[in-house]
Amino acid sequence: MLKVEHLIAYYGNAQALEDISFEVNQGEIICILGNNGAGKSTTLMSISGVIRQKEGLIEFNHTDISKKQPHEIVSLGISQVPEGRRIFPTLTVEENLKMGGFLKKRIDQTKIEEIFRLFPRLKERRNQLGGSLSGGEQQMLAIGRALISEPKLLMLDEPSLGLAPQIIDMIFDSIISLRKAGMTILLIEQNVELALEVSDRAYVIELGRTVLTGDSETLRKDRSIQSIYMGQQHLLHG
Amino acid sequence: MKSNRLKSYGPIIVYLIIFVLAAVFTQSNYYLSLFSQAAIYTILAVSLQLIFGYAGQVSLAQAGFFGIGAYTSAILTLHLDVNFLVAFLLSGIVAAIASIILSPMAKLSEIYFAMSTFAFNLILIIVFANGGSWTGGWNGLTNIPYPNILGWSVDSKKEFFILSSILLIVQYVFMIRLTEGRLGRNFRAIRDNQLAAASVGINIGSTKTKGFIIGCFWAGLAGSVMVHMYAFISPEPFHFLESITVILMVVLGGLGSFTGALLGGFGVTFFNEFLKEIPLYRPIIYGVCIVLMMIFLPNGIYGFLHKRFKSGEKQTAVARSTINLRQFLSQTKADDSAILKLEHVTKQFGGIKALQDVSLEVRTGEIFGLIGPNGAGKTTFINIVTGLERPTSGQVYFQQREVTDKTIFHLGSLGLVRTFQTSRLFESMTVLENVVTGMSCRLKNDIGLALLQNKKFLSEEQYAVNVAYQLIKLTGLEDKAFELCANLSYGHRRLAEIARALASGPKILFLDEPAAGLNLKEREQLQKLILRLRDEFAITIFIVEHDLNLLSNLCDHMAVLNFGEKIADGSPEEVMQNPQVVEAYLGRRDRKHA
Amino acid sequence: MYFDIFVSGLAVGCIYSLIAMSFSLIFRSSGVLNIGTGEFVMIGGLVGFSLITDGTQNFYLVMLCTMAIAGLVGYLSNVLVFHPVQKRGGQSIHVLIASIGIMIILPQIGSLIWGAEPLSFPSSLSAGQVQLGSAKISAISFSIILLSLSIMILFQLFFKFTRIGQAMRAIADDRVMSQLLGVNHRKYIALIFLVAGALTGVAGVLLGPLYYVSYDMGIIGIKAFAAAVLGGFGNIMGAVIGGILLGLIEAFGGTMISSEFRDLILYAILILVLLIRPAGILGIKKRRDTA
Repeated sequence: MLKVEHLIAYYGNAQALEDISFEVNQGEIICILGNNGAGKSTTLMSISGVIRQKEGLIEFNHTDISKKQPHEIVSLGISQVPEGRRIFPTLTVEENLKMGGFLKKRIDQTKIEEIFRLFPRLKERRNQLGGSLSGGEQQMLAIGRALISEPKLLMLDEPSLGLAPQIIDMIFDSIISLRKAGMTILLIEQNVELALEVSDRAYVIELGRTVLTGDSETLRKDRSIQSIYMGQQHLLHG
Repeated sequence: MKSNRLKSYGPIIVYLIIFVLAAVFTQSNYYLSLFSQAAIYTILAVSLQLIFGYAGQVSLAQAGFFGIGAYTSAILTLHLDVNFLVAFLLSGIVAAIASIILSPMAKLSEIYFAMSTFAFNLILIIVFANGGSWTGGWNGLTNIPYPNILGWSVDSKKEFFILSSILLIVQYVFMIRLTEGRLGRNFRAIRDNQLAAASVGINIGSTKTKGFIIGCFWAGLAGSVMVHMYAFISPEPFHFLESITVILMVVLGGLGSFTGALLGGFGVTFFNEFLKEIPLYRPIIYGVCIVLMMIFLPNGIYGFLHKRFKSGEKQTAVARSTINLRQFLSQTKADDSAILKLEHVTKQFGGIKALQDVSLEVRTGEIFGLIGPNGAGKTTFINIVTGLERPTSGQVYFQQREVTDKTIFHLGSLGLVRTFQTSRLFESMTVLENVVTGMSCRLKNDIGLALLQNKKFLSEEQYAVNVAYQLIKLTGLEDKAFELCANLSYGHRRLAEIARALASGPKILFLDEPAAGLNLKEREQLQKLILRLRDEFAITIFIVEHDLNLLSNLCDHMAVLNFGEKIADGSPEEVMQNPQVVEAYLGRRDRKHA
Repeated sequence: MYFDIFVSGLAVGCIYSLIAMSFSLIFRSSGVLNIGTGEFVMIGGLVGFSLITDGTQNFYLVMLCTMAIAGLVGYLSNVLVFHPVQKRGGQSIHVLIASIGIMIILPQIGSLIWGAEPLSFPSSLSAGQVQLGSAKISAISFSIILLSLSIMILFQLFFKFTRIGQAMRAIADDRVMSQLLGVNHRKYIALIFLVAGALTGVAGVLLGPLYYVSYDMGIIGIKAFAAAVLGGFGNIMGAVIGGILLGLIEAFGGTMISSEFRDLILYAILILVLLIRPAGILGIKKRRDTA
């Protein structure tokens, strides 16, 4: 469904991605692992078209999207929940959700009700301002906002960031139920155990390069992947 | 050194030659007065260059201060019969004093500062136009006497040309000298990266204010010469549109270089004179030129030429003498007291609690590690401790003194220095210049010494360069010492930032994710450096990291943050075995499949 | 007596509010501080003058036409100036200086077309009084207040309830995120310039019957900027409050001190507000700055 080959990207003058390649197939959950500064978020921002200085191939359903504008990419069916959630603070919860369906022109109220069923907490707060929500509620809202546009591919950037364990569990339960409903998901997660548990396959990137790939079950048993996160070794050089 | 000199003074020497030739050969009063006018406006442009191009403040009131000088001189000589020389000096001083009124605005962002100077210029015009018989209102004052300087009566176009040129040359040399020492570096540092400048203890507000006052002083002097040249004064030439003309000279000439101001001052004056032929379209052509310049040549003519004909990077003589770094860096005694203490610190952003009731102690001379998953509150923590943010509640103590409400530059000068997660360097400077700038609060030279450039100044500057070079060597960057920071690789940037932080002589050094984005070799280098800092120089190190392993090898003591709370505190072994920590990092192992 | 001053201050204040809204709208969505905003007011006033003296009887039609033309000028300023400067990497200072360019160009174009003399709107517009309870107030002040308040309410409704209005608020909150949801922010920022231009244009027409119109009336932009800063720069509601407050201060101040020094007081207030509370009355925290 999504194919990234030899992706190189720049941030100002500095090269942020050196060589990223991976593939996401229909119905899969793929996770990308890597240290801070490895280039995970840059990868997602490059796919979404926000980062424009890039080279290499990004193909979505066999069309090249590497030159497309962000809004064109969204309309093709790629939605991103960025790192830090980025809720619009001065818009209410409901307005935030409506912004998710921006390209739909007319927003189906049943679609919003559907999101409220998935995250009942949001319904209670539908008229509150986005900025007043707690971290967990913001994450639910961010995912809900991305779902309104009925994406074919959902990209989640560190959904567990700064959340308490019971909230993380809730978020991941909803990710699993989304997957059961047939959603394709590209996940960036620092919580390795959790990420490998919910995903089918995983890629590890380091210093802007893909260095390892495998199916998640195998990687979970392989201690070396955990040691990356505990910092004991580097695959690239170690 | 010789080539540097030539580079700094070259443009004014060229001017000197043209000036002498013109003074000897030109008889045309038209050209002489045009040249004098150009020289006076160039003085204004050079003074604005200091304020804007160096200290980074957009002043839209340069013509206003020019006017203050002009009116002061006119009123003193015409109404009070004061000697020209006295009036001349007083006009600079009065303009400088007036600028102090606006100096509290220096702490504002550039747009707000610009607007307040703008409003100030409008106020000045109202004052000039309503000063009754003192200022002559809109009609102005006439018959302002010609200057008499110690017997030299300046009363012809040629003599005014000589007077204004001398003033320009003196000012140019003044500015070059002023900006060669500590103050000049601080200016450029603030312009390049204000936060980084504050982090090494540079007082942003007072440095900017100095630049502003000096710039306004020179504008006042220029005003005095102009008013005597025309023997007439009225409010029009001091309108804020004239301030904009001066801005234009600086920007079109090239921000951040006195050569640029020289080019811009003369260029714009001549261009304007040329446009006088078509007065109806003058503002339109003018405005269009500004817009086009901003689109195509935002760095001005000088910036364009500089890029095209870039000469080799500045090389400063680095004496290979061994400076005793230990003497420079070492802390007096490594007693066991707490150098840093936090009590019940809480920070709330809207609905999110970034830190909850965090208390901890860092002992003098140890390496302390703070770890936690992304979003756990580490960055908020370091921001609070280093004075970038205020806690919602709780206290911070540094060496037994409460510092909760201190700002970053104050803490920096006390010896609490940080690096940043995304490295913040002074991009337009070399690595060496960055590190020398870091020494700002350890050096003493200021306006006076920089102008004198006496032995004391030169030896202190040489000392600074030597120490900086040793620090660069310590971090292993000596090959890159003369490289511009903008051209450094990621890993080198981080090391350069550490070297700069060390130059301020920190008692405690905060490193915010120093290993992020480094390769294995660079990590090892960093690890060695950190250990050396503790063992050889007894500097307390506080590292915030995501990388558990790096920390467990390095630290004497660790604390773990998770969702804003401290969940563990102790030796690395204790912390690594803490089940809560493992869970925070790897997720819960007993989580059932949904 | 005081009621009269209050009403005329309110009327002028409402006009300031419209211009201040334009400042804030543009600044929050695109990061541009357009010092030349006042020149759009001038264009509005002069275009309105031409339309009225050319015999257009319907004042509302004049307002609409003026809005369209001033909107176009606003739109062009983005296409020709601000967008190119930002696209080629210009920082906020370069944008600011480019807007100074606009501030120099537009008045001269104005004076080439309409001449340098101040022009008065037909007196029929500014005469007449309205009975309000026991008090009589000038009809023109009354209609200015009514018109500008309804325009402001209309805009608030537009931002609150329409899809485009919500997108504009979203851009102002977080430009990158709005892109990630499919908002073509370039298109919408262009649209915001159009809307902001229309707002200032209408302010120009409303100002006409009150004073006079001329090529150099753009200086009013400075007062409106002061109003925007007073209320909290970047905050739309703050712009409204700041504008009205400034109008009242000016009106009451003018009765106590000579009108020559009235402007001086205003500028001094601007400096003081910047100094004491740069975030303004309804100041908002600096938003996340990315990309």
